Amino acid sequence: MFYCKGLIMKRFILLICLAGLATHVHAQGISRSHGLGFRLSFWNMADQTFRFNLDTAPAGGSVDLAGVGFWLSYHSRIQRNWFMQFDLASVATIHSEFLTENEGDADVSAVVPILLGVRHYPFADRLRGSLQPYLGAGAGPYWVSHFDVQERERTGNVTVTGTSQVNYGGYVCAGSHLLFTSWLALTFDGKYHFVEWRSKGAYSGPEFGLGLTVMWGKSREMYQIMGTRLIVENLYPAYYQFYNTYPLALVTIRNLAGYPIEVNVRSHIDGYTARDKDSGFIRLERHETRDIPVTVIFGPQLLKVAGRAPAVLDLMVEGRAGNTLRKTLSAELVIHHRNAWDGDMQKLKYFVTPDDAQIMQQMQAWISHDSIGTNALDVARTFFDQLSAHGLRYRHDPNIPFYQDERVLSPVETLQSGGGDCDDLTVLCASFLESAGIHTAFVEVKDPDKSTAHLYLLFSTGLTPEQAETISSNEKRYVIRENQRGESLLWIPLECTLLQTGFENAWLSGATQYLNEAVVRNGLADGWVTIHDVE
Amino acid sequence: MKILRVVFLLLFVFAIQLVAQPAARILSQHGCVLVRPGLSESWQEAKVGMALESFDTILTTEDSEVLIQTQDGGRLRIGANIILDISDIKRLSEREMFLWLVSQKIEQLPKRQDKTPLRFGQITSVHGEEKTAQTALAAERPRRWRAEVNGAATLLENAFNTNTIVKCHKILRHYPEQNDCGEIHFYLGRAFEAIHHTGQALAAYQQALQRLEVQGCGAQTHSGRRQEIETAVARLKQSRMIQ
Repeated sequence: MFYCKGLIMKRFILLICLAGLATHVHAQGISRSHGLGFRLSFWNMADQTFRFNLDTAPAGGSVDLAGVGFWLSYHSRIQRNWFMQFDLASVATIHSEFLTENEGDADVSAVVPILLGVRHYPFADRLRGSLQPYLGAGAGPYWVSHFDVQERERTGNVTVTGTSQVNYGGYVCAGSHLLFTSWLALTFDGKYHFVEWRSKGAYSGPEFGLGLTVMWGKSREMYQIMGTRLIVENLYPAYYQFYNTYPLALVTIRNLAGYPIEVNVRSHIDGYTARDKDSGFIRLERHETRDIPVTVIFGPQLLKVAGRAPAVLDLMVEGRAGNTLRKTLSAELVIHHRNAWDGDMQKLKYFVTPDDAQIMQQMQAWISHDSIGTNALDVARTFFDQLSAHGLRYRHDPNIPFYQDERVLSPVETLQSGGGDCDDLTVLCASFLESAGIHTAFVEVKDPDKSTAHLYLLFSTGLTPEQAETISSNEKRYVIRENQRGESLLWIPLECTLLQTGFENAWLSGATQYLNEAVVRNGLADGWVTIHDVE
Repeated sequence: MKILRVVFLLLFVFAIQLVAQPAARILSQHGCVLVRPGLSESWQEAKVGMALESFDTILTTEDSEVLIQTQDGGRLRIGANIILDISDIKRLSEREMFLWLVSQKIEQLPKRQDKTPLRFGQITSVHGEEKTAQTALAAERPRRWRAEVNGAATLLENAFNTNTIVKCHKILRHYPEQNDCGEIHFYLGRAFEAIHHTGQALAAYQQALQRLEVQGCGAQTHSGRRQEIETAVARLKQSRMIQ
């Protein structure tokens, strides 16, 4: 006969230590929606002590086992941290005596509880580790069977007599999962059974168990993606530098855990982005909801897009609090032709390319001649007349059915194609002037009396109002604007579509328009004439 | 029936004339009066009955005077040594005036970043005209400024209060270097006071006083204006207290 209590204790402690290590390796904290548990237990019925006795002597030997059972339990989420629990067990007490070599008596008592209850994880929202304690209660029938087995050598008979009865009762329990992975946990719990609803009775008493639980189904979410709002549904390749800092979308994420988590949104547009872009891990306090801006990194390859095409913005949300939970989502965008412009004046400046090698070389060649002065007005006059001599002309945009966007040619394309409409030519002029260090601004006119908008250019002479007479004795031919240092400078309006007629006419036309529309008709004050600096 | 047709025809002709009516017309003149059409660089002599458009500018020299009729039928006598744009005498509503002021303020907030590779820097040299020509132009400037300020005073005297305010701001913008000893702000204060904008009037008067102090204007020369401004400030403060 031996008592294995000490050995069991050692193994139990070892198991706890291993589980503790696992806690660091795989902190989880989020229970899946279903679980099936297998447990071995000791049920201390009616204050009996734990017994395991094996005496193999052929005569007078005995086997004694009390309160040992096997439990099968299933749990399923009802709501958040509340679960329904079903338990089925078989707990036996066996006492067998060997009278002789071939004779013996055995008393077998078996309790089969069939229990239905609820389980609650009170700290699921607060604990970040793998230990998930729970409390539970339930009730059901306890099927109690008692068998008496007698084996006699002389008759050769085995006599089994038994009685069975069903008692109703309930239990309360407390226990914990120690999660190894999101699907496997060590489970240890204690129950107190009230058979026949009595705390003291033949089968009432505490029960302790240890086993494994296998879980499956959806984890209760660490975070929830509340929604994705696209800020930019239509991508215009010319603005690719703008998009590198401007969010294309906002992903609204809510922290469902009861502790702070960190989230990162990774974005990618297949075929168009140079690489994945991370938002960086952003801390979300418990129950906090936040909009995470999504930006992407476009490369110059976007400028090769030669037609409208759909594209998919792929997003991966990573939430971490010990472990990492990833979710993916996507949104559909439209990428437009590289020359498309949505009419937003603030963005027209992205078509201006003063650093284009061809523009810079051409401008240098034109203005490096000794006879040309270095002041902005002379430079502008020279480049404008040179462009005129190149035969650049005003031309209408092509009509593209059902396509509302404007087309703006890049300055080099305008040069190659021999002309363009007002926005093409104004962008061309701005590119050349900016490449020579002359500040420019677009003047947009949305005349309420006209169906179409118009565009012309302002460029800075770098001269102050005190020097105005050196440009013109008529103050209506220039505009006084302040720069960011608070200095007033003279700017000249230039109608770039009048390339054929030369600089003086383009200036006169621009100034006349500005005077009439912006000043006399109050367009600037009323807001239908706007000035947009090319930065 | 024929009479009806004639009446309709006359009405049509009258309507056309109304639509085509110039912004102003010269009724009479005395001395040398010049007109600069639109964006032209040159001046031409004015004539009685001459039609003036919104873009045109009228200039009276020493000892000259002109009487013009505006589009709304009003008459304006312009004394000697004055420059006025015809658009200056198109009566502005208060809303238009404030919109203009706001638009100017917005326009004064450009965002600019230096980035272009071939920058010459802001150039202060000019066309390359002879120095004598530049000197002549520079000498001309104070006279033009004086004529512009006189124009603002004329507008104020003729109760073109909102127009005066816009004109004064234009002068301040075009001639930042001129030392006016608070004169323009004094006109601004009076114009704002006339349209019952006490706050702006008070601010303008106080600015006028500051300019009198800071710019080292002779106390004797401008004692009359100083006294007028101080009286106006006291009056406005008192009216504010009563309110």
